[in-house]
Amino acid sequence: MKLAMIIDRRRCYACHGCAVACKVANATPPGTFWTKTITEEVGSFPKAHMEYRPLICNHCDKAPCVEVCPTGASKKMEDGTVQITTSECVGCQLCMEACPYGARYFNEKDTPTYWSEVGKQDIFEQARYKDHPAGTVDKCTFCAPRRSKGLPPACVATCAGVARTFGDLDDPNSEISKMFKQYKPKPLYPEKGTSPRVFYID
Amino acid sequence: MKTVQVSRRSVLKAAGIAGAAAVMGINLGSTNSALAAADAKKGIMSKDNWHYGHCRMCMRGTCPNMYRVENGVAVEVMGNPKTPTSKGALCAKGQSIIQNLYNPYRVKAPMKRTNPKKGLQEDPQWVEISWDEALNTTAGVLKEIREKDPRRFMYSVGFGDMDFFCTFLFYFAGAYGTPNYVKSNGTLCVLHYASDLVQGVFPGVKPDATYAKYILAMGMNLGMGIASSDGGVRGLLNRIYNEKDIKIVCVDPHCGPDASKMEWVPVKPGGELAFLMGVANSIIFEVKKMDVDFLKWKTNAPYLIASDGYYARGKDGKPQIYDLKDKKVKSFDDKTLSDPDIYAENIKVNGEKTKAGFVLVKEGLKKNTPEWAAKISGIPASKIREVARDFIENASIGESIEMVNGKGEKLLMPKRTSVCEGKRGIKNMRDGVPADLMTKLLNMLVGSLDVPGGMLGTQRGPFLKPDEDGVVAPKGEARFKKPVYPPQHVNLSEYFPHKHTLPTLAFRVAADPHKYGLNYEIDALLSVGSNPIASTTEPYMVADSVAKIPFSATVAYHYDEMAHMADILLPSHALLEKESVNSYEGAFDVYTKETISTRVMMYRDPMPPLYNTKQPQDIIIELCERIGMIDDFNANINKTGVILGEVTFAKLDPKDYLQPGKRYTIAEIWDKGVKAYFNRPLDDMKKEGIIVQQMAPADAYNSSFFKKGETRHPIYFERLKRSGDELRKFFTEYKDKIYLPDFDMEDQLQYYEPVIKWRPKDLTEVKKGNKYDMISINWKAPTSPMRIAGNDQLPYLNEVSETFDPTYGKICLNTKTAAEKGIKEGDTIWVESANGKVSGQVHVTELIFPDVVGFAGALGRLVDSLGKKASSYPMYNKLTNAKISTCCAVAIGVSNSVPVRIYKA
Ligand code: SF4
Ligand code: SF4
Ligand code: SF4
Repeated sequence: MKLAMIIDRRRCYACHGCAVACKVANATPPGTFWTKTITEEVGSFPKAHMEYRPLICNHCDKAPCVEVCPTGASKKMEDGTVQITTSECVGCQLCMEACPYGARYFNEKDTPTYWSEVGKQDIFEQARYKDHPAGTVDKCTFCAPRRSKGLPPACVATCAGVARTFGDLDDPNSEISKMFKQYKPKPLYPEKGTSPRVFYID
Repeated sequence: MKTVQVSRRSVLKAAGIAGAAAVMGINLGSTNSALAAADAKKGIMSKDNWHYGHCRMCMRGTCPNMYRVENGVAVEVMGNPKTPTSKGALCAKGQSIIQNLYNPYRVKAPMKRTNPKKGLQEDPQWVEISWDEALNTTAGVLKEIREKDPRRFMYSVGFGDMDFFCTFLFYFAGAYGTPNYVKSNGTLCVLHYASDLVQGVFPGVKPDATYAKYILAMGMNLGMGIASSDGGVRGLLNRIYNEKDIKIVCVDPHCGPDASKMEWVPVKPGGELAFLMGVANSIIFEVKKMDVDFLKWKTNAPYLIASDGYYARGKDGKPQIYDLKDKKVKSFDDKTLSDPDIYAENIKVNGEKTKAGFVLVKEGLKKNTPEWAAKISGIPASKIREVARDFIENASIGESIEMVNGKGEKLLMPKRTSVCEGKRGIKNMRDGVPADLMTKLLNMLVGSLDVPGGMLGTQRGPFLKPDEDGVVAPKGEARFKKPVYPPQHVNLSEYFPHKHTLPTLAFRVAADPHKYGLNYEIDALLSVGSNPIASTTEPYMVADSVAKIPFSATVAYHYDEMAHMADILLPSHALLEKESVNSYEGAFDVYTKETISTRVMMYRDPMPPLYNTKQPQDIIIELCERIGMIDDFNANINKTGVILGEVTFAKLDPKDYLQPGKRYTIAEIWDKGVKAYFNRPLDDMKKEGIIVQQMAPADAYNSSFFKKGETRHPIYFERLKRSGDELRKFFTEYKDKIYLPDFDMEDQLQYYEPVIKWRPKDLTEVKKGNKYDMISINWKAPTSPMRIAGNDQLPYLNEVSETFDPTYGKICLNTKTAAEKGIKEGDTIWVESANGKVSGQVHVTELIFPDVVGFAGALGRLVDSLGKKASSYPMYNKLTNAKISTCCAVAIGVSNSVPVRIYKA
């Protein structure tokens, strides 16, 4: 199994639905964006426009984050994804430095909340932020909990532009394999040598 | 200051320990609250799963969603993947719906104000009261006023508490008997007039991107700018990147996401109409190719016009056409008519020389050459010519397509594939309706109205009918309603027959009604989901007026400006707690293959309420009962039908009528509506979430219902002239009586003309050296397109936008302009207009026309009771005004661009 994602940049219009869908599905605390969309201004007036690049953990085949992890909390799984076992993470943040894509986030607070002025977690936060204990690092899991229920990753499901395709590159009949053949998408920063599993159509 | 005194009971109840409330020692009289708490807990136990719902985080609310509840907490949300339109997508706003629920700035229990002084700077000193007290106090005041004079009650509604447009709201105003039903949403809705006049449709028209090959998009987005996830964008992207057979040109002072995917043609704000006239001129005089058959048979282009500007009428009173075939003048519906002449001149009717309407249109455009238009619009003449050529070349003039209608008949229908559409960027100006009419004119030149590939109405089916002159009969805002003196409406709508809504004027008049000729005062205001202070214009004037109204109650989701000014707060549910129905019938942005003939009826299964709040509709119905007007309310629903969506009305069979004397819940009323319209009970929808219906392909196009010559679209706008002439008579007759500051009759009525002329306006006079040397513009931000659902206070949206959208909450300046003014990225500046000033941080960009000041989103607050973040953004609406002399002269929508100057703070 070789889980991967193709992102068609042409079809992204920076609605930021994916970023927020990810935040809700994975109940990540403030400041954390396992996926996000960057806007770049291209050209100069009057011939200017915006281009967008959704970013996400690349689940690299040669993941430096896995290599540097002193406890083995970060690992490459059989399905091709890179996952962190939270209970084994000591929060040294070496992986964050090693990742060339800024895909990892450190959980700083015991009871983080979006309602900082009120100073109290809401009941969604109380119920769900437990998955991100303070002093650990985490990142995109390609929505492992959703996949275990047969659902696609939240960012993929919510994308109104259908800019994101997710699936198994080992399965020649999967949509992603067909797209891979047709478009020959390229990874971001191939020169970093991490062999990403997220590919872009420009 | 501004203490929000909420008993912790409401909060504790949510944690399942309602009994602890007594120790707080705050007024806890309500048995209703206790019952609600018990019910809520029961609900929680039985509801640990996914539930169907639909979004309403923007004013469309057309994306079905699902949410999961675990131990009584909403823990997940996603789009409903079974929906054929949105296909399970949700935008960032839709994904933030759980924060709409757990927003701590909500009104959590009924409240009464104890500080009699009202003002944005006053602390209302809220004290929690029981529902009984809140409802009885409000109903008591309203009952007394109703008995005295129902006009003294003003009912202000808005997007906030509608789960789709208008919902139940106007039933209440009608039943109460007040004319003063004032919408605070829609100050920018100039769009309705021209679509009604030319296509007989409400609320507007959208390009059919199923077949269109060329879209000229003026001052608008095609769904990307608003981050729509209802399916239109998906279809459009398919056309652009898969089928690669569509060209889209966005004419706009600012380059948003849509323009970024397509071609951006930057325009100087205010010059859009000139550009359109330049394109029309080039088509008529240079390209010289049009859909002449359409003009002859589907428009009033051949109608002969007398020297007074009206249709020349025959002895039978009917408009006349010159038939080229036998060189005879005939009535428009003469069966022998075979070749209507659109170029007829010097034709005698009743002894008087006449010309075909199209000749006048042509003459009117003669001077508006591309070179002329270039000077005003800042768009090079060569580009204007290119657009004209492309518009014609891509129009598929003469082509047709076979389609099947609902009766199973095969129809050969014209296919026209070039369209021009304008939105608020060109309509919210002094000449907004003329600009909109000019977009229609371009479409008529190529015959692309109501045909495959053309501009289609939001309503479906045979909505369009000819009037007695054979021309499209308007049904709504283009209909002329006779002006009346003295006025009855607090918004003076008697003077403005084509207005959409005039909330700002209404509050100006309410503060001083006698001066404006009203013989009564406003004694009470009930506001439901409306916010005329923050959402319209001249916010301080509106706030002062609201403060003067002796009694005001607000059905309130959160402590916004209107809540802040109220005497009584009737707390309303958050979105996920509201039971709701909505129907997707027509596109908001574009029609596409997967959405063109689909109707999706959707339902929201509500969460048990977290606090001591109620369903807003049920608050209104309870008020009806306590006022003693439930029979009138029920009768009004029986008469109008049950509204299930923006354009979906279910007429009830008399046997299912609401009975007098009985108070129904809104769910019971919807159940009747859904049964009548879809033949299914509401309970089915709880299980399935949506009902999907497909119509036959041809039925999606209005023209399929009419034969050649049966319905003509006006290209010569005789009705508009008629309105102007009638209004002139009226205003002349009452000129000594009518008090209307900023109103110059001649200046106003010159825009009521059958052939559009160019006129300079304040924006086109802006130049270097003037006091106000720049022009402000405002566009919809994807995460903040309009004021609804507390978008601007939800941390998910503010965080993602501030981090990843460089324009959010900023003031945008072109790089060159910024350099000229010595301003750098991140500087704080003031933007000042004749109406007010706002400050904010600068974002320097190449994506905006020079000398323009750009604001993204519907942001900014005048109270800090929604959190500091929401009030930290610049509020664009402070810069604009609702002066009659600057509003669109026909639809009286607010001019959304104004002359401004900037300086460093
Ligand atoms: S993107 Fe970064 S965090 Fe993700 S696998 Fe690669 S190196 Fe690791
Ligand atoms: S949801 Fe899709 S369109 Fe929206 S920002 Fe993410 S990738 Fe882009
Ligand atoms: S476009 Fe976004 S906010 Fe509007 S209804 Fe759809 S998901 Fe909700």
